[in-house]
Amino acid sequence: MSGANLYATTLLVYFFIDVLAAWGLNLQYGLFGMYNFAFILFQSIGAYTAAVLTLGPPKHVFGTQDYFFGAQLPFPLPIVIAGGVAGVLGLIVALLLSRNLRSDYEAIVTFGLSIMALLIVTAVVPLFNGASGLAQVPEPLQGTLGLGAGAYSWVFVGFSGLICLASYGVLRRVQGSPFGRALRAVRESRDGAAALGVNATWCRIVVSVFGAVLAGVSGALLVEFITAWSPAAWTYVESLTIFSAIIVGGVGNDIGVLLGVFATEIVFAEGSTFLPTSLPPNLVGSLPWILIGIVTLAFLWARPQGIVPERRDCVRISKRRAAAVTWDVPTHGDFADLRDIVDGGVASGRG
Amino acid sequence: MIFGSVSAASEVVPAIGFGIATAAYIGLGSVGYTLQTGITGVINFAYGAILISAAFVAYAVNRVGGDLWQILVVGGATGAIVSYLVNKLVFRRFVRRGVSRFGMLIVTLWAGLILQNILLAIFGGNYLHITTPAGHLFRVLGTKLDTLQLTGITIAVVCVVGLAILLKFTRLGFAMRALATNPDLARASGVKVARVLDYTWLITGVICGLAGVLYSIAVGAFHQTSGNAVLIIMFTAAILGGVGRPLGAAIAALALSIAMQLVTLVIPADLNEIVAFVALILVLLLRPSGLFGVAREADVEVAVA
Amino acid sequence: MAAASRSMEPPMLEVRDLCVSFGGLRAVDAVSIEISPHEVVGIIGPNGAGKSTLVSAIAGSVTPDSGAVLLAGRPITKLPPHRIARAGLTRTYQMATQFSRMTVLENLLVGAPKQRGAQLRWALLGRRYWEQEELRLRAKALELLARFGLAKWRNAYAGSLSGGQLRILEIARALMTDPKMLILDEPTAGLAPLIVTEIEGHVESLPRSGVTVVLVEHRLDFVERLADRVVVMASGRVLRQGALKNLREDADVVGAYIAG
Repeated sequence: MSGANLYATTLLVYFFIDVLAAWGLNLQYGLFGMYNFAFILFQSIGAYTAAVLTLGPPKHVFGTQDYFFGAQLPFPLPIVIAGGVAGVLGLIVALLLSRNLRSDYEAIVTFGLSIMALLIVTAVVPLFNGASGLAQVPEPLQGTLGLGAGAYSWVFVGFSGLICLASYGVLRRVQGSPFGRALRAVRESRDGAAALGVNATWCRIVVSVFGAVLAGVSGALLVEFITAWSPAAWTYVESLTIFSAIIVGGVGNDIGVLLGVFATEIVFAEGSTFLPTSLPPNLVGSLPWILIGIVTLAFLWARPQGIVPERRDCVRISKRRAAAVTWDVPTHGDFADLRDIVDGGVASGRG
Repeated sequence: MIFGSVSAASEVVPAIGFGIATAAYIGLGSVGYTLQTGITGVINFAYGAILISAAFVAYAVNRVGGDLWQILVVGGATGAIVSYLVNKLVFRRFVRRGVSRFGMLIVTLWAGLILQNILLAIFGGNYLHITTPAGHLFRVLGTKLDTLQLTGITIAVVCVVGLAILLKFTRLGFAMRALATNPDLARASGVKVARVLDYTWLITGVICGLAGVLYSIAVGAFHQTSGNAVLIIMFTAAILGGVGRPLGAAIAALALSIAMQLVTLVIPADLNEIVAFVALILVLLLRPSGLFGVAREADVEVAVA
Repeated sequence: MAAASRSMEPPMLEVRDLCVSFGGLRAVDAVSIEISPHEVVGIIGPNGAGKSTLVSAIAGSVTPDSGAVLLAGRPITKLPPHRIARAGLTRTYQMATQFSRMTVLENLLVGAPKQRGAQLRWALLGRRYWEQEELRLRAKALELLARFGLAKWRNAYAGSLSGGQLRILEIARALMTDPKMLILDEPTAGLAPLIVTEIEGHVESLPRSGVTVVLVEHRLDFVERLADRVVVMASGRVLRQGALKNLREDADVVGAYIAG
């Protein structure tokens, strides 16, 4: 397989996987206002679950990988179950955060949780093989498809892309619905939303589970592609990076988040090619991070809503259906016809 | 893992002793942290990076032959300068902008990460080590502590006492306490807020730097990310003691350090930080004002500098 | 006619021996109140009298230690705020609870009760299932906005409205929930006289729309013009109840205001 092929497929798969995870966090943070720094745990548990369900039972022989449980399930079961397990973790986190914590305290609690999990998995080796992590995870349908390495990678790209597309469809439905509107209302004012009958606890559970499932599936796809997973892949820096992609790309806007992820990927993938080779390797390794950090800070200062901000009035109604309305449309001085009811009419106010 | 029969006196007392030794730098860092947050209103998650940057500069001086006292001075100065600059260049701009509390957290986290990467670029990613002359072992109350540990404890105690004197008996200290308790009233009473905040960043920065040097010597090998683990412990101690209450932070740090050492008698040593995390999560979920703090609305006013 | 129907219908709100304490302090001390349908009742009293705590306890954001609250005969005492809102009691807040980064129209639409589209399963199935209802709700919301003079701002972000407009939005938004009863928590605090008159007009129209109103207020003239009767609170207890004009001269009431 040519170098260009390998590069392209790797970039694309990483892109789809990161976008999936970022959309999950965008649902929780951008739309609902949950400050979950343990988000990366959802992706991580998805990856570990998929890995142990593909590796087969642990041999418990010295020199082999040590993990607490394993099975050899056929595709796509490991990925599906990974999503489910992540969803359960999402439920647990939602219940944990049921108290009305201050935004930064909520972030710090979850930050602590994620580092604690990292600590435990690293130290308790029989769990997931500790710091070494799991490796040699068989790729799904490797033998059965009978494809060469190149073609296989492209199939993987297509598969991840399809999952992304499907997820986008579901997310768009949720966000463009009155339910999505209720989520944003809770984000804006918990008390105000409750006084209007919105059940914030239920909303939180839905958002946490949904976002976790997306991250879990993303983790499963990632581990099936790169065939390895270790604690180094899910430090707090990963969570911070996804938050940055959302902040820069567009808080609450999935297209914006896609852009943010794309920009971040480009910096990491292409960043080093633009630098002179005479630079010391340490500098080269640190520059992308410094750049992303500075850009994030710049956006937080100048344009915190991101490049592509959340739509004004997110609920989408089809014009065709509105045109089929048969009941009497009230008319008043300030607005006169059905267009006003469909999209609130021409914006005549400030804002 | 040490299961089975544990002879109480032979294991517990040294653990407590070691806990007290580690409490030297943990406590120092916690006191600096709690003052910084209490007075400036910024929950600074770049503190760990600043702490370790002081260690790096101390290492550089140590390489060209600096002794313990010289590198301590350099470390303290580095802590002060970096803290002051990071506030002036980054934090203050966002405070003035009125960024949200969560936004400020992201700002400090990225500031820390950027700083770590600058250190990586300059010093490389290898683990470094500060060489200090071999000291003596002293018998103290049933346990053994070496010169370095005793020096650390002494420095920590001296600094904390010095801080207490500053806060209680000087005008600056009074202004700092006023800002921590009631920023609006302090401003209205004519306190030169900007000046006091500058001094706060400098003074707590010195403490941060000193803690960093002591920590890096105690832990032996360190690199850019070494500050993060100890930051969480210091942060937890600060919250437990009540934000802005140095004595509370010192006591909490001592208790945490000893607990962290005692727990290694029953769980793997590299898991001992879990004590801090569990304490952090519990205190934030159940009593964010801290064990010793007054149950207010858990709001720390962000002072506009 | 109104008086006759009032005596035969069950009370809209019944508060029985409600007690709320924080730490050792009794913020609400054995308060009992009855409010009949279509009444406008004012709750007045000096600062610290427990008015806000009482409202929070009735509306569910604070859990009372003892006592009961019944809405149209149905107990709502320990229910969470959103369930009480769905039962027909909506409260407004003094402090900012508008949805700033959503349009004024969206602010109202959040309140619409029992929206199909607001339920997860219908949202997932697709807009075909909730679109018609949404259109109807939008028409209703626009009518409300027109009635409250906010139609021009329907597409503006709520965060860009002025203080007075926000209070009006708060009331309009509450009405969107089709409440049986509305508790207005200091709707005119800090507002200019012109806006206060406007709000007065809106509040006055409420009973005609079938809404029972409880008004927590400091402006006594405002309350006097609007309320059928008032409940005077002091130190967590109900001091007096009756028509305000009778109570103005009452020694205990005056004393409470001076002391509090």
